Amino acid sequence: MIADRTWFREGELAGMRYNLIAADKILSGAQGSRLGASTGSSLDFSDYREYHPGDDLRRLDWNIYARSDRLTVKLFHEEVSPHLDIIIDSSASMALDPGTSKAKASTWLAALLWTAARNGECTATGWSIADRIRSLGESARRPSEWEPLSFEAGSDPLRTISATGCIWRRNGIRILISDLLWQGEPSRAIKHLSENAAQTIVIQLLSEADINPPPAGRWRLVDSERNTSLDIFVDAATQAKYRNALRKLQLQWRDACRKHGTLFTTMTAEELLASGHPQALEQAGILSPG
Amino acid sequence: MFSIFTYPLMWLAAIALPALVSIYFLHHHYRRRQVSSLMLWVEGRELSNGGQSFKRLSFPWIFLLELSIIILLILAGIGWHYNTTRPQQRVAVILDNSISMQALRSDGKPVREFALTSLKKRLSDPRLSIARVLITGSEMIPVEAATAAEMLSEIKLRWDCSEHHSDLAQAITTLKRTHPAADIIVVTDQPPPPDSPIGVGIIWLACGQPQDNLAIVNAVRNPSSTTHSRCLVEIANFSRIERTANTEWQINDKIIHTDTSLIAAGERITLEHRFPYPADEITITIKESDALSLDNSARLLPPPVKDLRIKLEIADANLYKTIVETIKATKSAYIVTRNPELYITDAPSAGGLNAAASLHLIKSKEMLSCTGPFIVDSSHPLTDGINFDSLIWAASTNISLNGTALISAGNTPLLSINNPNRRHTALSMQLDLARSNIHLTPAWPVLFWNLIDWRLSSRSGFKRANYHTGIPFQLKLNRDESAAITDPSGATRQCSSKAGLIMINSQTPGIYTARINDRISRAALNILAPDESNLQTNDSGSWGRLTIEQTLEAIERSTAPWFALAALLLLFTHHFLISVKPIAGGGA
Repeated sequence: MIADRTWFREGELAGMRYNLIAADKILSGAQGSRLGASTGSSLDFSDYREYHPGDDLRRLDWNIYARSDRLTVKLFHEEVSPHLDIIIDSSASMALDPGTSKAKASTWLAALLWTAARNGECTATGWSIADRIRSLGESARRPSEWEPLSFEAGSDPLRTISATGCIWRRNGIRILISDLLWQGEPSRAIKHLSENAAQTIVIQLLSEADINPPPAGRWRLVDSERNTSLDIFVDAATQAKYRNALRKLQLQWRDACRKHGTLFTTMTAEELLASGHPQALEQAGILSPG
Repeated sequence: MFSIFTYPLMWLAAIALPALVSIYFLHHHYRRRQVSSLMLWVEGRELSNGGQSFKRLSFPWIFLLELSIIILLILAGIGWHYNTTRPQQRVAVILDNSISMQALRSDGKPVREFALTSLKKRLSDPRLSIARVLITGSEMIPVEAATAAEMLSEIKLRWDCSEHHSDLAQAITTLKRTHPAADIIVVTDQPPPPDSPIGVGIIWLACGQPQDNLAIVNAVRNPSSTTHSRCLVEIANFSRIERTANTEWQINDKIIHTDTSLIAAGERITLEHRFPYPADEITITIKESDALSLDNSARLLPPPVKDLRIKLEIADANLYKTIVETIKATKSAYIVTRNPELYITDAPSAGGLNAAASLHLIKSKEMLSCTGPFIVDSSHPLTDGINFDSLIWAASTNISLNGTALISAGNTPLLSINNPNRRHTALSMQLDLARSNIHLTPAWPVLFWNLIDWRLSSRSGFKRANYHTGIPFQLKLNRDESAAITDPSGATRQCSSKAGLIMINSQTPGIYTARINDRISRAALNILAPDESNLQTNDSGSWGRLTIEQTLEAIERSTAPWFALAALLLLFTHHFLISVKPIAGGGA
């Protein structure tokens, strides 16, 4: 299934109301107009530290050397332009039949984040991750101008991340939009995802169908990605067990994210599209109305 | 169809078939839903009840297996039997030869043909062999043939269904006695009577149908008259509704009179018609067509003329006068002088040997009047109806009469009969009118009536002009006489008899002609059999069963255990397959 470009345009419009809030530590990146978290070559003084071989001798504070006979280097704030990598899970589970709430919500949210990042003077790049990681276009290109985003079957994003490694910009902000219904250990994915990242945010985007199991009865459940089926009799106990399994999965991801300093939040696609406000991201301090 | 099961309750078991199909349908009926991943559902299988992925009922193997089990159980319930040996049963067949078997069924096919087909079908059973076939009417006619095929051909040829009556009960009794080991198949057109011994060993095969029928059940014509002819016909309506009978009266193929009569259901009417002139053959016909056409017409011939030729040689004038007056009073004889059939004389020596019979009246002066008691041979037609009360008969003990005494006074014969050479019958009678009162009593005309009638009955030819089925159809022939008999179809056959009477076995209705020594005698045969014309009680069906069928139940083995065993094996196979079959579907 190919994502509709109108979803991107709607997300861009919605994103006009928001700014991406970058934490102090996340201010790293290419030289730009904002002070980064690390030291750089701006005129704003940051700190002193002892000289280490290899430091720029031009940063030596000769006055301190004269007074204390110690080689001390002056550190200045680095002027950076922060970068946002928006990683969209394009596995087939994001485009369930019937309805395309997760696909629409994910593209809508990605476009919103891209616009909010631009509003916050950040560059942003869209990525799709399925059986491979693919850039959706240069950072200058608007989401509505990205390469076609298709939600494909038979993909395993977790394995793809593990196999590919970190290809995103160092010290950038990385936001993963996915339902996270992946087989495997979340920590491994989080580790690869947050490697050399200033900040990583994992947004679990679920549909109502993912949150609420089907009503009681005989069901043939078809896996959207593996095309396998399970004939199952659903009753109240099964529904409870399913919800419990979902909570358990979310807890695993939350713990893994906490372990790697990653922010984790959950959103419901239908609610997101209905409200038009990514309230969870605002509460998490990622977006601010602008 | 209900009886295909030995146990009708097996129909309840047959419900299992649609039940199984329904179960499979319901088990295969599920709602489809696409989910993001089955990973959250796989753990649900650990639940003991809900969430347990149900094992799909595999189609078609498991289904066919279960279906086969149920079918085998149903087959076991049908109660089929098998036997390794093929027992033989001899059967004796009784064929109803009555006229009603010629009636047409509603499909236009005669009952006889239908019955023959049914019999062939029944005898096609290879276990049966024919022991005896009796075509049964008023008498039983055995049919002999070497093979079954020849037997059937012979039956077709000889079973003409022309009898007015068939004594099936007597035939059954006879066959039971002569062929005690054989089963009996009765082929008829009526259901078995309530007291018939139908059961194992006797099969009653009825092939008739209740049909409406108008029939002439009685037809008579007055005695010979030179002035007129009078006929009386009785028509019966053997129908369930009132019907109109249009009747035609023909004389020598010319329609003289017609009648239209309305006859209520089950009623009879009498039609009488008087023709003011002597007529030869009169034919009465019902114009309405019905199931049995044989009884729709009757042909009546004038009764034979009684004209016995008597020659008298009597010297006693008083006696002569008395005898002549008596003969005239009978209107059945006349006096001739030559070629007599009866010679009456009072001459001392009896003559008239050229006549067939003679009566010698003997008179003696020694005669005494006798008042009895009289000893009478009542079996002889001459003594029929003679009242001897107050009778005085003159007799002499010195007179001896030749031959056998018919009437005696004590040990004195009064009237005797003698057949010296069988061509001539000599009667001798003591008679003296002066000492007797016999000529003044009713015994006198009775005696002469008997004498004339006896002599008339000794004439060769048909004894009656009009016969109907059920009475002996006889032709009288005197010694050394032969006759050429022509039947209604025109066929002529020559016959002779030493016994004097020929029974004509043909039952074809119509006019029969016998030519005897340049003299022609005619008789009409009609189908007048009310019991056969009444087709309302006819029916179709089969009652009773062969002994072999009951015996087979005892010696044949039921197939039920084999079917049940096969079902059990399949049940074990099913259990094995189900227990080792992996769970279909499964999680991702």
